[in-house]
Amino acid sequence: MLGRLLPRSIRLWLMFLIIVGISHIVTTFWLASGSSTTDFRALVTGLPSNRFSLLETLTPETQRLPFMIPESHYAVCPFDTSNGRVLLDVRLEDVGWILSLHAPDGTVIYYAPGAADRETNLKLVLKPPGGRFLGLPVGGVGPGPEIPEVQLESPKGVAILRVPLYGLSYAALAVNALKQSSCREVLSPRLRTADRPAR
Amino acid sequence: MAVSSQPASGYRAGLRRLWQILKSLFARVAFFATAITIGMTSSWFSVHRGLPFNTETFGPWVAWHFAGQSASEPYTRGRFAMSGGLPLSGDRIVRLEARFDDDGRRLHSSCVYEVSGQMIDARWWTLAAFDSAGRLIPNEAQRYGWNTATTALGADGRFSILLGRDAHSGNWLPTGAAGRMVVIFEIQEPAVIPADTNSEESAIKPPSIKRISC
Repeated sequence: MLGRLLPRSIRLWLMFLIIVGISHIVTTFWLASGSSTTDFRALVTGLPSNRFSLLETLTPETQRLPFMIPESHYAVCPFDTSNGRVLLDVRLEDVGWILSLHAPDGTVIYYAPGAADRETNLKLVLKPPGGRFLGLPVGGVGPGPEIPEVQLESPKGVAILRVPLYGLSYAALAVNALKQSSCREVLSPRLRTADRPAR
Repeated sequence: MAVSSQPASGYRAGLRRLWQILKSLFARVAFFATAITIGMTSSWFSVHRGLPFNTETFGPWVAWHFAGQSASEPYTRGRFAMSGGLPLSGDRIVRLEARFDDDGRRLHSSCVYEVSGQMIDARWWTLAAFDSAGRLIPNEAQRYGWNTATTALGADGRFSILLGRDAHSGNWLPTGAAGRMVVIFEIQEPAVIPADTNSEESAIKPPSIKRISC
């Protein structure tokens, strides 16, 4: 109906613009559905789950991801909450230190930079997606402080702890601090028994 | 004679008809191909370079507002799916990226650049150079970046980092044979975040990138 009311040239221009728009949208979504998960896999390949692993000093040969900030040490924990919550216990000793949690698609779930001139002791509980009961909150029984929980949208992800190199003399100190960071599964009481699923 | 010319004229009419069909077909194919190419190219540019609503530029530097965020729009997601890496961004970390110098020329390892500026009002910053695929640039000095703690400042409180193939005194960042380069400037906990920068005074002032020689 509308087509018959409009002159042919305007109809052609409209059709042209619609095709341009559709092709623009399709291409954009195709590019957006790209390869962040490939990067995630490249980072966690060969690393144990629910444990921090110290990566080799960053060089062109050891670089696992594009655009990794150099002059830093990295500790990486590929976490998996399929069997229960995961507890992260990290110490951010100084400014420049960063803890970041990423979903497999590269999305940042959480990040915390260190503060100047004081240590930040950071404890986080990573909760798997869904509302299943996984026991009482960690540290929540009794008067002690409850540990903050991060609700995940995907059971897997990666925690990256980055420590800048202030200079070569600080390297051993940084490595030592990274080694003290922990990332471990917190099993619910029910799962601690023989019901624990086989791996 | 009349009997023999009839098939010939029918043959010519058929050819003419075929030519018209081919012409019309070609016009349609060209029409669709042009529209699709424009759509794809505009998408590629929007994803690669960013758009005013998802990026902010500070001279040669570009900051992607929604990098790594779950609610990020498809252009930003496409950008980081293409370039790779697990980007960090937010109100406490600003990551700036430069592919061009102050004069809009593509950064290339065959040239020498000076990256200089006032000390940034932030807790921490790091400057690093990569090749166009995001790989660190191999060099004998094993120097891949500079940060707040390692950069030597001038007497006036300014810093200056030289990017080039050949060794320089001071803060030298080797660029080897990288070809086209990308320079990343990451600022942690800046005093002012880009989204709040309404006035010139409060805006982040990232360093300038000047080409010294080529």
